[in-house]
Amino acid sequence: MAKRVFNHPGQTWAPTATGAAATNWMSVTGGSTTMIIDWLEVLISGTAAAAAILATGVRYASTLAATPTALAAPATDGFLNASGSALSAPAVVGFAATTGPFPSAAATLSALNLGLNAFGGIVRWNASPFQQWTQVGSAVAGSGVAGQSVLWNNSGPGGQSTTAAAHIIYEAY
Amino acid sequence: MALSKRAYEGELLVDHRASPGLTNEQAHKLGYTLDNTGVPNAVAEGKVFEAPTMGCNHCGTVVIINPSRTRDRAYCPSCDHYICDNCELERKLPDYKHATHRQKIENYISANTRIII
Repeated sequence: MAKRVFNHPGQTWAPTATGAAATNWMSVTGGSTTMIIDWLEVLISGTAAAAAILATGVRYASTLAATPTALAAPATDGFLNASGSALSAPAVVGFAATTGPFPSAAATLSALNLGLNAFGGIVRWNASPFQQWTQVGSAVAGSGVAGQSVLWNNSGPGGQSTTAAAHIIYEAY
Repeated sequence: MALSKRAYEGELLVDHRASPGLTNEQAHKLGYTLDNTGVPNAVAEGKVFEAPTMGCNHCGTVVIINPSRTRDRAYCPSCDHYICDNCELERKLPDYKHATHRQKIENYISANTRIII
C-alpha cells in the first residue's frame, strides 16, 4: 500500500486500434486475483521534433499481454516514498511482450482520452481521492472488473507514430 | 463530515504553450472541442486547457466536466454522488439495483477470496 511511479523516459508510440494488440504501450497488471490498483496520475510529454498527433488513451485490456518482458532500462518503477515496502505479490508493469495487450473496444468499459500534439505538448491527468482509475484482479476485463490497464496510442481518433515520455503514478492494495 | 461535490474532482491539464497544438478537427476527434457550444478550441497552439474531471461513482469512468453543459448533471441520491450519463440511464431502468463501483469491487474480491477453516 504505497504509491509507485512507473516511468518511461521516451519511446516511439506506434498507433494501434482498440481491440487489437498494442505495439507500444505501458501497462499495469494486478499481482493477484484480489489486488486492487488505483491509477492516481498519468502524464505524457511529447518529445517529437515535428507536429504529430499522439492520441494516447487508457483502457482496460480485453486480452492480456502475452509473455511480458520484465521491466528493463530505460523504464523505471519505484516507490514515491523511498522507504516503502514491497507487497508479497507486487503489481506487474511493462512495455514489451511477445504480443502486446489488447485495449478493450467495449463500449461499456471505461476509457480515458489523453491526446496531444507530441511536438511540445503535455497532458497530465490527476485523480482526486475516491475518483481514481481502478482495476481489480489480474484477469481480462469482464463482470465489472479488469486486471490490466493499458496506456497506448489509439489509431482510431488519428494517432500518428511519434515520440513521447510518460509516467503513471499508481497504488496497489 | 459532508464534503462538497467539488472535493471529489480530479484535474486534466493539456499544455500546448510550446506546441503547434491541435486543429479543431483533431481536437474534436480526440474529444476535446465543444464546437457546437461555441467554446473556442482550448487545445490549439499556445493554449492551456485545464478542466475538472469526475469519476462516476457507479462504474468508475472518468468524465471531463463540460463547463457549458446546460442539462442536469446526473446525480444519484442513494450514494450522494454525481454519476455518468450511461449509469444514469441504467439507474432509471425498472429492475435497477443500486451498487457503487467500490461495492462491485468488494463483491468481486469476496467471491474470489478463499476462506481456510
